[in-house]
Amino acid sequence: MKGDMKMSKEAIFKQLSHAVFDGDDDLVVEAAEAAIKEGIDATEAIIEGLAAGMTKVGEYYEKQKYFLPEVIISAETFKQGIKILEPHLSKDIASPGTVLMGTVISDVHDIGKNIVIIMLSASGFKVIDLGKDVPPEAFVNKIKEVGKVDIVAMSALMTTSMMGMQDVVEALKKEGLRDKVKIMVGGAPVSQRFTDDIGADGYAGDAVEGVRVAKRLVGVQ
Amino acid sequence: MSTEQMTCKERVQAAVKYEDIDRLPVFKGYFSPARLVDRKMNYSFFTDAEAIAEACWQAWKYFDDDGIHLLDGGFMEEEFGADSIWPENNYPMINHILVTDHEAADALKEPDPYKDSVFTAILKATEILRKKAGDEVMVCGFINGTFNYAARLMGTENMMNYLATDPELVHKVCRKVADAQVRYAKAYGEAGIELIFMPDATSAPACISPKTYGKMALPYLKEAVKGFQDAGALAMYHPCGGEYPIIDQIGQTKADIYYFSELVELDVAQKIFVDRAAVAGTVNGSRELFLGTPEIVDEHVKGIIDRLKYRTGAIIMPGCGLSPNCKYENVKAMVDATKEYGKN
Repeated sequence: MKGDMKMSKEAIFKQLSHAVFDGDDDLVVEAAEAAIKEGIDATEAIIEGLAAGMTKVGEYYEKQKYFLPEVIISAETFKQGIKILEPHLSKDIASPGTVLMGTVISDVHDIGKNIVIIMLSASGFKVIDLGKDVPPEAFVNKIKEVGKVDIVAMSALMTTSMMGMQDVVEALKKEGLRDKVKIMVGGAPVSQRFTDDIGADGYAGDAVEGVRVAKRLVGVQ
Repeated sequence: MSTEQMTCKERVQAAVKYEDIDRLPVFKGYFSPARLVDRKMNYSFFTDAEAIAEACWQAWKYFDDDGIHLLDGGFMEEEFGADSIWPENNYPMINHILVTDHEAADALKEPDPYKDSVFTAILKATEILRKKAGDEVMVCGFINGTFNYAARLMGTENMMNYLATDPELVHKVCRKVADAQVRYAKAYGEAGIELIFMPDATSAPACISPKTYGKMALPYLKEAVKGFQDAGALAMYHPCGGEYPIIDQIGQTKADIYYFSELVELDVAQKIFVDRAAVAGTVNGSRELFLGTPEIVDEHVKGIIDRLKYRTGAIIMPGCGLSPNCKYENVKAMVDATKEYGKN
């Protein structure tokens, strides 16, 4: 926006999307502030601008046109835009569901989990991040505390730690919570067969697929 | 040639040069054999040279494969100044990220292999094993990849960010890591190591683009490989994670063996590198070796071997490192299947 030239809503959405896609922090601030100044609905700006940009990032990542550095930079820009627009939300964004996410116990690898969180957030999911090295009881306790969780999502990078996923499934069964949530898993050593073996509901090979699986599990397109 | 006419060492050396061999060589791969000597994989074990040597020796005897593999125990990060956590029966972890800016990168200590408490134990274990092994079998060591070490010092997510926003910081850390890798390799060489395994998942396409790989990682990986070879060891490089997009570039490292994950077909890799370098790996460490049965492993290994065009120039081994709680019977099945189906 140079000078006081008024921008159309569509142009601002396009700028927000481009800013995220290019990882351009300056542009995202400029476009997000313009959206507020023009009285554009913040919810719409997030969905049509920031999230649209992040969806394109996901598509590029899936096609191996983008790699982790590009995704992480875009994710930072996305967060920057959210920070500006969020206080101006007049209503909650309709969410497909709440996801409780963590890297299982004895595993400190969280970069994949963090990217899945960004992609899920950009798709409207509410995500509660339990962090890394998360024991089974932490998943159980958080569900009890929050009350309504739609999906428990777990990540593991090593065969050393992947059996921790089964421990979480067992802990949920023991506490009578298993039938109240869907369970999805992912990470380098995880496979569909392992997912079936431990009795989880969904497996995703990468972050973009993670969004598709999460949507399927909560019954939305 | 009939079965078992060569020593393990002769077999591996000949396979690397695409010479005639009695059968394909097989490596059990890299995992802690501590439980073979009733020990937990912890700091006490990693600093006990006699126990390491005994465990590695027992592992070679038990699995009856073609190499003695020193486990993933070197911990150069501590020598750079990182503080660490040593979980019971798991690999050590960095407690805090060490490098967050140029000042911190400049302040990194210079790791000295002869002061590293873990590595000095490994060097002593190497000497013990070399005496025991004689000319029968190679003693194989482990030095992590340049980007793997750098990521542990900077934090993987931060490092990915710096690659886009401050590549000079990544260069600065990699410069120090590559120099340290060469120093460690030299010390390994003096102890008699014959092969050095270098995994580098952080520079693979699962993390960075082929373009970034060529610009940011390849120059240091080349230096590390040359350092290993100058130390008198074969260099086995493992670009772990969706390797195909960089398969045209990895040959520039001039490693002796390219070790691939299950995401690469060993027969395809062999055709690419024929007469230039041996290829290794591709046995699925999770689906078959961790979750499968000996029968499943047998069929999987047979398939890999049957598809090979050349009955040399390839080493059968797990597609990546295995966890300490892997099923030994499945690893044994991989070795037995190679001996059965890899005969010439």
